Amino acid sequence: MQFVQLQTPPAVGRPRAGVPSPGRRRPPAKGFLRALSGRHLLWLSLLCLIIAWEVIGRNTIKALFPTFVDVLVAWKAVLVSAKFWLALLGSIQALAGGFSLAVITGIGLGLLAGRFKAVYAFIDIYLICLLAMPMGGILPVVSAFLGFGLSARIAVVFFFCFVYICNNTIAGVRNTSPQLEEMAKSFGAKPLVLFLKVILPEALPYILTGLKVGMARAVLGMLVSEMILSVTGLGAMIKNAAELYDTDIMFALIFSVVGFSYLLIESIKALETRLVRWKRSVMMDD
Amino acid sequence: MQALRGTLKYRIMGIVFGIVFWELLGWSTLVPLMPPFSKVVVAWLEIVQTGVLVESLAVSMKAMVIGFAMALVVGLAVGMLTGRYRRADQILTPYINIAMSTPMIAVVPVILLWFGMGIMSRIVVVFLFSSYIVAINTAAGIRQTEKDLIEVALSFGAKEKDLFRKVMLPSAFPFVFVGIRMALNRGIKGMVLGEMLVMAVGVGAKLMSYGAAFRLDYLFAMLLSVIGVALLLTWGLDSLRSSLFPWQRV
Repeated sequence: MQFVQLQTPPAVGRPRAGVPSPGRRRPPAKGFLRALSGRHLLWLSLLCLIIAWEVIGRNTIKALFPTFVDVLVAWKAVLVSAKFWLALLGSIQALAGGFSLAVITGIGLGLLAGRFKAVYAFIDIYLICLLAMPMGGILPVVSAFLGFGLSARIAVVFFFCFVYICNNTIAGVRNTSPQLEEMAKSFGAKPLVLFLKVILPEALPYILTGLKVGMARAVLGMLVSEMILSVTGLGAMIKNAAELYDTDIMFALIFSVVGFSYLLIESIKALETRLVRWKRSVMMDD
Repeated sequence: MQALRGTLKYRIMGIVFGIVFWELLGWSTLVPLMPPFSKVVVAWLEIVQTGVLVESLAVSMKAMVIGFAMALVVGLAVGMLTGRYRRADQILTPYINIAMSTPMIAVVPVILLWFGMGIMSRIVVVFLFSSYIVAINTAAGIRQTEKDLIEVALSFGAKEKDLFRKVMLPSAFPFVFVGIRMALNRGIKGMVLGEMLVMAVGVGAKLMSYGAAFRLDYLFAMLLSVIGVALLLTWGLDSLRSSLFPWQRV
């Protein structure tokens, strides 16, 4: 596992959305498209997508492809129904349980393994296997041991996200610069102080990246467990809607789930910008 | 993963401990249904001999390879566009970000609806699980190309095509490579999930049926084989890189 952290160069002037391509000579703005700002362009593209969707939807049967308006109407109905919020609540239970379990054990084990080479070497093979394993395969195992209830779903969520959090924590602890550690020690820092003031701040960007990736995987695990393992929560609602060919409701539910997941990940990103302003991860890696 | 010298002892200890622990757990009645490791090995030998393993892997891998190839082509193209051109970045990157936080399994019912129960659906699932990672990493790689290099190339009269081929893509290669490796992994995961959820073929279907029949020894044998294949593919990709581009280190 490698992880690349790039220091973003200090921005000169006001940074634009996205990183401008280096060395590209832009011709002076002319014409309609060039005069648009990035945000306008995005809205325009969204509008085009929606119109295209509406047109396709009107020309196909609803069971295959609902129109955008249909989906909006269904979405409104979904959002005011108690069933949806109860399902969401049920899903969140498993998500919260599994994710917090993974955070505690993943960061704990990661700190240990990042610090002690022996521990790392001992568990390395299992981390590699967990990373490479298609987690879907864990479902029958989990259901054989834990049944189909809440504890099984918590276990699935845990297995989906644990390894990402753990691996990133290890990488973060490893990333601690030996000079800093040496310096802290020579000024008489006790192990606890060393940990709190040197190792943890250095590892924090990595840990947060791990949490971000882990959260995405946890939501995936939550849905997988609900769709394949036990028939509850949002996953089951989506599956049911698909089986009944209620495509408008299905799309409304999918959008809700995507929004839910996006919100969770964005909140971790917000935490990231708050806690670690000085570093920005630009590359994804397991 | 850098090699750590002097830890071989602990590595072997870890593996031995795991196997012994598994074996004991299997023979004890602590966890019902848990097969000991030796029985899993026996089951593995059996599915190898009867050809079940190879057969289901072949079915799964067919969709996997096609979907992965499509993901590579599209991901590279989109990544090059968004990494290089501001307009493309403004339009496409928000969608890619949304795709990144989308739990793709939620989309699988839609795919099934549109593409049917056949191989097409499985190809699309693999594509969806893996393409955006290639795009994100390619874009990141292109963006970090040194400005000076591009300036020099431009001042020597390089065209846009040359810039991509001779400057930006080589410079982005480590990023692209990691993206490809990760996408391979995600693709395999997507493949298995897709097969388990709806399309009862290949490895995923076998896993489900072993699980439903509580044949955990076969289940573990299958699971370990899939892990083995995934690791083997990753390792193959790694060694391909180091033999093609020995000077580059990721």
